[in-house]
Amino acid sequence: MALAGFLILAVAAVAGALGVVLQRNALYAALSLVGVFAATAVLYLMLSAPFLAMIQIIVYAGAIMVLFIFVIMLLSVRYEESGEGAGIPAGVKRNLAVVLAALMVGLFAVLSWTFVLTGRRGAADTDTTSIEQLGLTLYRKYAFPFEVASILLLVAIIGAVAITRRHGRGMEGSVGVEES
Amino acid sequence: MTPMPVPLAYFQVLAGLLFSIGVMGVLFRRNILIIFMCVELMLNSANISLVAFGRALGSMDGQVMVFFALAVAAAEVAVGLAIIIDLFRKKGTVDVNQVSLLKG
Repeated sequence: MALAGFLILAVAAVAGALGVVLQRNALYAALSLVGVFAATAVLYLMLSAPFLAMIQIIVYAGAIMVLFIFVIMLLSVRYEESGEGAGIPAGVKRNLAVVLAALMVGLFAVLSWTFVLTGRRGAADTDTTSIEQLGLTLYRKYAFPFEVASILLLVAIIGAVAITRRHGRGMEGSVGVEES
Repeated sequence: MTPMPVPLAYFQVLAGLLFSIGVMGVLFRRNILIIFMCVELMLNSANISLVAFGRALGSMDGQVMVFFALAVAAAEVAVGLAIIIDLFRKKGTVDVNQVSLLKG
C-alpha cells in the first residue's frame, strides 16, 4: 500500500521534473515545478515529517513559486509565445477557470470538513511528537545556525532591493526594458 | 520510531533521478529562468534525500538541515530573481547565450 503510494508520487515527481526541463513555455515549466513540490510534500508526510511538508507547500509551492511566476510574467511571456491554447475563445477559457476554481474550493471544503469531523486521532499523535522533537532539536542543538539563518534572510532582502533599484533614478521606473 | 514504509534506497533513487533531470535542465536549456528552476529542482531532490536519511536513522538532524536548506533557498531565489530582472533590464533577454559579458 505504502509502496504503491510511493511509486505514484515518484512517477508524478519525475514527470513534473521532466516537464520543467522539456516545456518550451517558462510558465508551464513553473507549473510543473509546483507539481514536483506538491509530490515532495506528500513524500515528506510519508517520511513522518509533517512540519516540513507544510513548510514545503507554504514556502516552496507558495511563496517561491509565486515569485517565480511573477518574474516570468514580468519578463518572458511576450518573448516565448505559446501555440497551445491560443485558439480557445476567451469565453470558454473564463468558464473553465470558474469551474476549476469551484472545484478547488469544493475540494478544500471537503478536506477541511473531514479534518474537522475526524479531529485529532490516530496518526496525528505521532505527528505532533515529531514536530515537538523537531522544535526541540532546532532550538537546542541548532539555536545559533537558526539565528544566522534569520540574518541571512535579512541580508538577502536588502540585497534583492539593492540589486533591482535603479541607480540614480529612484524607484519610479518600471521593470520593462527601455525601448531600443 | 516505526520502521520505514518504503525502503530507503527507493527514496535515494528518486532523489538521484530528480537531481539528474535538474542537471540536464541546467546543461541544455537556455532560458535563465528555467535554469534557475532546475537549480531549485536539484535543491529539492537533495532535501528528499536528507529527510529520507534522517527518517532511516531515526534522527531529527536531517529535517533540521532541510529547514535551513529551505531558508537558504528562499534567500537564494530572492537574490537570484533580482539579478535576473537586472540582467533583463541591461540586455533585454533571458537567453544565457546572449549574455557573455565576462567572456574574454
